[in-house]
Amino acid sequence: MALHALPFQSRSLTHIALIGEESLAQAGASARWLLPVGGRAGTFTATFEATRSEQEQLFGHSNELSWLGNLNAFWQLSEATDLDLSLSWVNGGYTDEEGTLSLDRNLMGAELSFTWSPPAASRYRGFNLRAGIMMLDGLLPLIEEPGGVPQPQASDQAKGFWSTAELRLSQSWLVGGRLDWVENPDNVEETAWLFSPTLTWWQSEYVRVRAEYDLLGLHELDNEGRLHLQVTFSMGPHKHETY
Amino acid sequence: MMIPALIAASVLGLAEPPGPARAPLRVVATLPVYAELVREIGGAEVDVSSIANPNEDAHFVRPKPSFALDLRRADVFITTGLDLELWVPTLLDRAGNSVVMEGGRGYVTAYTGIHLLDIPVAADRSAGDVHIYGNPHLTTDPLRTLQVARNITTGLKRVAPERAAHFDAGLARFTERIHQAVFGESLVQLLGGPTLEQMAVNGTLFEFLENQQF
Repeated sequence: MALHALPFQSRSLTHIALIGEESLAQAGASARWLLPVGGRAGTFTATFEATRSEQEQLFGHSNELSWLGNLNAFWQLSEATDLDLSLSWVNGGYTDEEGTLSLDRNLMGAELSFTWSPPAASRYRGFNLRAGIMMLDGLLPLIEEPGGVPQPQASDQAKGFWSTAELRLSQSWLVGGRLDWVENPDNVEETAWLFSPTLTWWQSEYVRVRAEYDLLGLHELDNEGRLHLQVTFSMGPHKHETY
Repeated sequence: MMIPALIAASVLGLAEPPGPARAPLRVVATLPVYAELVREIGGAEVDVSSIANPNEDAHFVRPKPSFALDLRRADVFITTGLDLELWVPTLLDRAGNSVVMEGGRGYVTAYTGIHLLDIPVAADRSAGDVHIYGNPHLTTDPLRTLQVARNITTGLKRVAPERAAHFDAGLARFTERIHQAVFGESLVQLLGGPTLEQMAVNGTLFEFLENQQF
């Protein structure tokens, strides 16, 4: 997904720490199956992918295949509210540049999205809450100083969570916020958190102005605050819509 | 009295012959008004649902996985076919049902054969939000709605030709109702609905009526 389509200036802290700035976009084959159940039981979509391990942060210099499985469940709770639950798993091998270190890696995640959008007033009122957890195992050994002897980390798993909320106040104005927390996969004893309130103004369906204040807390460092102002223009019928 | 009447109707070919129970065609329409037209035409031979709610702005429907599942199971899909429901391609892609994909035999566009109004001279934003192909709100005019009903009938017959007589009968009843409502009973009896409709569409009806003595 393009960054301008995200509800915030950047991907979540958890996403950046465990997967990287780039998403998991690799060459390979993908199959998707819309399960033949529906109604009150929900709507389920299963995705399976086999791709070449090109994502350097996750797989280093491995050329093996990596595997992805995802199950998405959707429930229409009422005319105005719905709930989305997604479970994902990625498996692949990590190989360092010299080819001396090989690890089996698993990335697991769960994501929940709750949306309230009254059909008669969906352009004026609405609320969306998203939250997710991620876990990466097969961590690299800890090297405390250059040339030092690699030591096993305190845990073989790095975990993180992220959450976002956005409330539509009118046709043009939205307020939102996010809260992320993650363990550093290079040293799980180091953690970071991010809190970001946002204010968004849609000048039209094609022009969006967004102010975001990021308050970042890094392990044993002073908190760092940044104010972002983002203006997005779009042309043609493609607007800032996500599915 | 009832039984002889039914036998007579059957002998004269006025009633549909009884046959084995058929599963209704599964029809999904983007808008409730299209779904209502399908019910008028198809009656018990169709099981129809609409994606947009009657109270919802059709331009801004959120594509949901449950809609994709409805489309996956559909035999017929009815959409305006212009730039009103920009969320349709996403749903069709997710549904993966080749029968109702654009070009499939179950894909029906409501706008076919309709002279569109308000086609913008320039496709830019100087006039605000514009529909670049013309006004896609077809059913605000009863005679354009009739053409939409004909397009739907064509689509239903294409998918289920064995039910063509049933759909044609439904369209004929609906057409008669619209003609009576738009032109009035006496004028329809005098000139016939199709003639009046033709004159209304080509813009000669009012001039004709002004110059006639009835």
